[in-house]
This record gives sequence, C-alpha cells and structure tokens, in this order.
Amino acid sequence: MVRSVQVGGAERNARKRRQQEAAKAVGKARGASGNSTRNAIVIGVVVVVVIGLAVIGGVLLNQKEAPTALQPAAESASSYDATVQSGGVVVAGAKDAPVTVEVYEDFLCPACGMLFDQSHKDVEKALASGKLKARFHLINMLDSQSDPPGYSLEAANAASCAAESGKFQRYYNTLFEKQPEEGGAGYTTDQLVELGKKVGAPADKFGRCVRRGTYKNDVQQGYQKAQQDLRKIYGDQFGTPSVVHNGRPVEAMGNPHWASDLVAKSGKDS
Amino acid sequence: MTKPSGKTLDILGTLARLGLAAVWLISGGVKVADLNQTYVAVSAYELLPAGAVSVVASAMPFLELALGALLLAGLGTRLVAALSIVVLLAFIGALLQAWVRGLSIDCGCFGGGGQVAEGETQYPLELARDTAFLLLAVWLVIRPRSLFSADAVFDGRREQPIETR
Repeated sequence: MVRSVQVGGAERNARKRRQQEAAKAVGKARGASGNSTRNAIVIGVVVVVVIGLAVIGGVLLNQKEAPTALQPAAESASSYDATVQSGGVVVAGAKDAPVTVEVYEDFLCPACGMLFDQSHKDVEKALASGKLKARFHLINMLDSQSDPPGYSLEAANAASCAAESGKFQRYYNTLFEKQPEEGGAGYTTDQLVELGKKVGAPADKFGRCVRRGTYKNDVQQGYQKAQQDLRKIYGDQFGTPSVVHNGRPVEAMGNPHWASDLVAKSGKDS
Repeated sequence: MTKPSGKTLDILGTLARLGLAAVWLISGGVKVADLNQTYVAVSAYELLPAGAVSVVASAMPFLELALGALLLAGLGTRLVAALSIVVLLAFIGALLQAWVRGLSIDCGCFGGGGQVAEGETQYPLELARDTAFLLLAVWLVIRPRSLFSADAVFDGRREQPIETR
C-alpha cells in the first residue's frame, strides 16, 4: 500500500477509472474500490460495536449500590424528647420551651449534612436545656436526586417512625452523620429498619411503620405546605436547610452556635 | 484566489478531529470520575422520567469516551463525527429547553451540574461552546480526511484525495 503513494496523480486517476470499469463489467467488487468498500463496512461495524460495548458496559457497571452497613451514631452527651405530629413535623425539646424554631431539612441534602456536622452538638444542648423547641420539617424535596429515586421520602418516613417509638434523636443523628451521596443510592428500606432496631426501637412496630410508609402522606403534604411557607419568607429561591424563627430567617450556616445564640437573643428581647 | 491545497485541508481536518476527540475524552472522563454528580446533572434538566435519568447518566460518560477514543485513533471518522452531531444536537436541545423553561441549572458538560442560583446560569456561553463543537463535527462529516489516522491505513491512502474540493 505504501508504494501506491509514490505514483503520479494523473496516471493513478486513469488507472482507477479503468479498474472501476473492469469491476463493473465483471460485476464483482474486486480491486482497490471493492477493498475500500469492504474496509469501510468493517470499520463501520467496529465503530458501532465499540460504542455499543461502551454504553452497555457503562450501564451494567453502574448499578448503584446502597452505602454499606448503617451503624448508629454514638449516643449524645445531652438528650431531648421528640414526638411526631401531623404534617411531617417532628417536635423536639420541652413542650413549654420559651423559644420555638422551625427547621426545614431533607435527609439527602448535602448542605443539611454540613449544617448538622457544624451545629448538632449545640442544638442538642439547647434542646436538652428546655429553653429551645425545634419543629423539624422533614421534607422530601430531593426525591428525584437519589438513584433509585425516593430516598428522601423513605428517610423522612423512617425518622418519623423513630420519633413515634421514642428514638428520634439518635436515628436523626445517624442519618445525617452517615448521609448518602446525592445522585447515588440511598439506604434501602431494610437498612432503615435495621437501624431502628440497632438504636432500640421496638422491632415489629418500627418495622411495620417503615415498610408500610405510615408517615409518607404526612411528609408529602408537609412538603407542599413547606414550599408555600418558605416562598413567603425566602421567595422562589428557597432551599434546605432553612431555619426560621417568628417568620424570619435565622442565619444558621456558618454559625455553629446558632441555637444557643437564638435562645440568648430571644431571652433579651422578651 | 487559489483553493487551499488538499494537504492544508488535511491538516485542518486533523485539528478538527483531535480537537473534537479532546472534547469527548475530557467531558467523558470528568463524568466517569463522579458518576453520582453526573446523575444529579442529568436529573436537573427535568426532561426524563426517573428510570431513564439513571440509564442516560450511566451511559453518557462511556459513550463520550468511546467517541473520543475513536476520533483520537481516527477510525471511522465520518461515522463517528455523524454520531457526534446527533449527540451534540441532543445536548443543545436539552440546554435550550432548560433555558426556555426557566430552569436555573449548570449544564454539567464538563463536570458539575445541578441547580445553581439564578443569575449564575451561563446558557449563551454553553450553547455557543456546543455549537462550536458541532461545527468541528460537521467539518469531519463533510471531509473526514486527516493525518495520523487509522482510516488512512485502511483506505490505502493515495496521493490525490478522492474528493476534489
């Protein structure tokens, strides 16, 4: 093939024409033009196969697996009580606490995970002290962001079940401490049930609550209402986490002591 | 005015081919490095049902890498360029619908992706970029000849180009 490159242009074209005529006369694709047609077809097949294998391989290899082994977070230094209310809200802290704060969170939301890492110790202390009551709005804003979708709803439901069984604090802490990645698989229903058992929730009652999705409707309705409420306060660009006191936003991100600051400030104002 | 010589056009074709190869390899490589983020990016277009998002987000990085590798080798350049056009048109269509619908997202074309604050979107830039890549692919469909390509080996490349342009 290398030698043909040296041949002069006009002679080559003339020879090519003669070859094409000969090939047509014989009715068979032999010679230079036939080979290049065959080569083109072979190359075309190779291209399609390479792309096909890459795509199929990618889809098969990328079966998302749930993060492994959901071990409970450590017991906290200060503990508080929590009860589940209608509308996907879990109320934590003393019922007669002077300061009430609304906390809107999604268990898949990475920023909520960051806020937890930053401030949960302070929040737990404030809740345990009886001076703060926190109404956790566990919303499923990011349902579509897990693969398979729906982890936010499952987790919010499970946390509500944990509150019903009196084990909210440690369950909530675990789900944020061991938060799954956005775009990845969240914990499975089985894993969420297992976690409840590990933190001491009554196995049958908790398992039924999680698998039946007892609080899923509440969570979804709560999310609808949260959207309305948050739009009034933040406009269209609301998100999670959102911390609200007396209808006004609280600057929580970047302030690990936002909870105790809020309690102190409210004490001065009243 | 003389037409550019076959050799000059071959060099331009080589630049187009290697340029488009680099686009696909980098774009695909960044996506493979963080498949969860790719899922978030695809999901943000709010275009596909959930099951399809998963398949598309899994397949796309490897499709891009395959297109890039084939262009780098220069194997089946015209066909791969034609496929590139189809893929790029799909990307441009997705971006346009996001823009028109008022979604506030990052294209996720070279990593990243997902929601961004309003005012941080860069639709015109992203569309211009994709259009430029599209033009590279169009060139290669019209004139797939380039230097240092596997195609040249299999064509039994002659001194004169077959197409006279």
